[in-house]
Amino acid sequence: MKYLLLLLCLLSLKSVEAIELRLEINGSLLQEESYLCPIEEPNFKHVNETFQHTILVNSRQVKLFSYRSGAKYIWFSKILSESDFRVGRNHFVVPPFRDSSIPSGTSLDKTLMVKKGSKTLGSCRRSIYNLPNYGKNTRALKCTFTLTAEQLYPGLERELRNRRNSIRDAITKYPGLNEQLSQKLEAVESLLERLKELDISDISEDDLTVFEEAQNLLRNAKKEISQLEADIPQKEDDIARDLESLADNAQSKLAEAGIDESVLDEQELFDFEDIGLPEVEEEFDEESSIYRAVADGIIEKLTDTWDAGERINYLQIVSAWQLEYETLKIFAETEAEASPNAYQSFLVHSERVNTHIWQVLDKDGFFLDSGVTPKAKDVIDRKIKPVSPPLAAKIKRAINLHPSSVKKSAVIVDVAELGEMLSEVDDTNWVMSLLYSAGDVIEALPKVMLDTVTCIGKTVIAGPLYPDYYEVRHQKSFCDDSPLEDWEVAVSASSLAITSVSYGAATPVGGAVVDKASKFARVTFESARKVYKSVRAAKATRLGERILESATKYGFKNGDDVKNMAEVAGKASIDNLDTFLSTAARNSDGLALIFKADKAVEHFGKHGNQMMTALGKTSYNLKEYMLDAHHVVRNGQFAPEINGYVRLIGGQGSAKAAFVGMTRDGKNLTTFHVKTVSELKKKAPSLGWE
Amino acid sequence: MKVKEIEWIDSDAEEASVLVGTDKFEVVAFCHPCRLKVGQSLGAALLSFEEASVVVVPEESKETARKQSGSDEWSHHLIGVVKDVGNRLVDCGGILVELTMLPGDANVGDKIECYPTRLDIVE
Repeated sequence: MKYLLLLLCLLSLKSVEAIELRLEINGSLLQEESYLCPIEEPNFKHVNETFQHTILVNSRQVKLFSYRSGAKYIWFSKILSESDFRVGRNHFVVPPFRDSSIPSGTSLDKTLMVKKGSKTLGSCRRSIYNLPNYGKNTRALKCTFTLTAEQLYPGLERELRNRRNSIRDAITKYPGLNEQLSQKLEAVESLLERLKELDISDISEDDLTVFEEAQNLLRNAKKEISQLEADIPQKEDDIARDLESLADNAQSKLAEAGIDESVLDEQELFDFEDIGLPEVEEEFDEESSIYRAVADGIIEKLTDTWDAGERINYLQIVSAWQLEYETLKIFAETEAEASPNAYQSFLVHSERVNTHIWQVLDKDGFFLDSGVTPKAKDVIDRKIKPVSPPLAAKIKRAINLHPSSVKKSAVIVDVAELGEMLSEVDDTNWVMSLLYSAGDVIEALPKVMLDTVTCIGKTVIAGPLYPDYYEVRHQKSFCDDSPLEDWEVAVSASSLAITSVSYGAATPVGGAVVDKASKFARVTFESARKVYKSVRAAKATRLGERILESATKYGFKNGDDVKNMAEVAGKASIDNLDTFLSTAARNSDGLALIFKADKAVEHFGKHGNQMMTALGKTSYNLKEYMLDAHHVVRNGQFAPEINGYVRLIGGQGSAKAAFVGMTRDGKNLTTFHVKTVSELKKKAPSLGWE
Repeated sequence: MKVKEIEWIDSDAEEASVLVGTDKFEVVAFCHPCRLKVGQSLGAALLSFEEASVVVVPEESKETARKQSGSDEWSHHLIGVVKDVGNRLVDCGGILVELTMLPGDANVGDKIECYPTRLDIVE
């Protein structure tokens, strides 16, 4: 296999165009409605930007394109660029996502294309599966693609064929010239046969360096052959010696580079990831047992990497062995009857490897000397993993490979236990949400996990909490990283706490849960407090607490509402939120009416001037605009035809009325502008203004 | 007089800026609650909101209906022919507008110039 890859890489390194992996979901459907994501921090204000990310895979540039559909897809680019997207392993996995716009059972077939330039090379094999425990419409997507070398590098086959012909010609002209040339010819023939099965993901960076040297050697050999062809009178013996010398030189170079000479012989090839299955022999010879050879090779590698302290490599070898073990096991069991000695050999030698491994690793894959507590293992493998396998893998890796992270695993346990309280109500999102929302916990996490949290935090999973957490922690806008003022940070901090409270309170499972929700809320609120302490925004903290206090007093149950209200209040320079809310008009639930999101600011921008003129004022600001809107609701007349309150305005000019629109559910305000009485007479007869 | 384009100010509030036009002129009208569709014909006249400087102009004045450049986004400049004095209807090259008032001496067929601060769609 390595020899195969060697030649392939040599040829492919010359001029490789970028590979474009174009991901489309439901093709035209999303394309019509989609936006293209930016690669940098998501910016909700510029959703039309193209998401295009270039990564290096085995020294090749691979361009990824991703469509997004609405703001919910903003996480998608981050997932592709930072998460478990692994082209080198010939597949990519998109972690769990939630999107109600993709109906359950949607087939992604025919929509995922691998392209080189404008040419479509093929589609991917992929699967989408639901994660019912993760919440409604939460899916994971796994895509596996296979590209043949010829697809990626047209002309490769022709070049190999030319090389084969060249060698064959040389041999024809000089019968018995050199055995190694014959072997090389066979190897090239073999390459041609196997070309279409090539898996480019097997090529490692280290291999490339070695292969490059080998390429030069092979070129020299080819050159020598040409020279020999031109020098007919030269004795065959001399030619043979020269070529032998060249071959020796090539082999010694390969040996220096750490590649066993046997790689030149397909029969003796040993590769962790692709072990040829042994031939069944009636007379099994233990001395030449393939199982023994494999075990010896694995044990040697395991010993070397362990002695060298290369834990990552050690785990990779273990992982490769486990794959090969399964393959060998199936084969050995199938042939056990025909060759019981061979099967016995398999059992003995596989046990040798496993015994070696279990001296270092436990059954859960943790190093025995890592000091990870059983509880932490349980949390990672049985709590976090079912919810997010990539996150669990990263946490496990961090703790397993870095002993300094072990203490921090205790924090993970604490967080997960909190999550477990709420997971009892069948909402495993809480386990994740806790990870994101508990700021002080996140502070304590190892970097690798923090990266993970940052990455996945921008997904739908952490949607309600993470943006606020980000803004509090970094004092920057989640959307565009613009600096936030203190009051804005406080708003986010309050929203963080309130959202947590409302989530807990909204959990519809009776009194016992309420207790747990309350506990959760307190924990989260405490975390939020610590967050703003950690950013030393004392002013923000005080303001945030005041906002929180007012929001609680006036019955806000939703973090978004608090944030909207507080943001508008901040922009309108309402210093005393409590007073403002005490005079605010109420909806049918007795809660203060507020504008949704930034609607107050938007509508003030559109209608503020006309409102000012209609009211006979010479200046008018957002605060007055909002106070007037509440005044109209409190003192006006409701017009069901236009779903809002109206109140006549005196003054000069034609008869006018101030109008305040309501949301369909009557819970909040949508607009505030002036209408003529003529219009209202026509549109709202129920007012009786005829 | 047809709806040529709808730009939502706030779809939740059903509030939109609507480009209304004929073959000759286009105006931008405010619409709330807006349930129009592009291409729809408007049967009712646009309501003028707080028009300023309503005067009778010479007969040879050219009809016009356009947004006032550099002013508030809703403000327009209209010159049209009085069609109905009682209902204060003025036809500006096919754009039919109901003013809040007409000059006392205005008669059907006179040309009127005015500057509404907003045109409202009543459908």
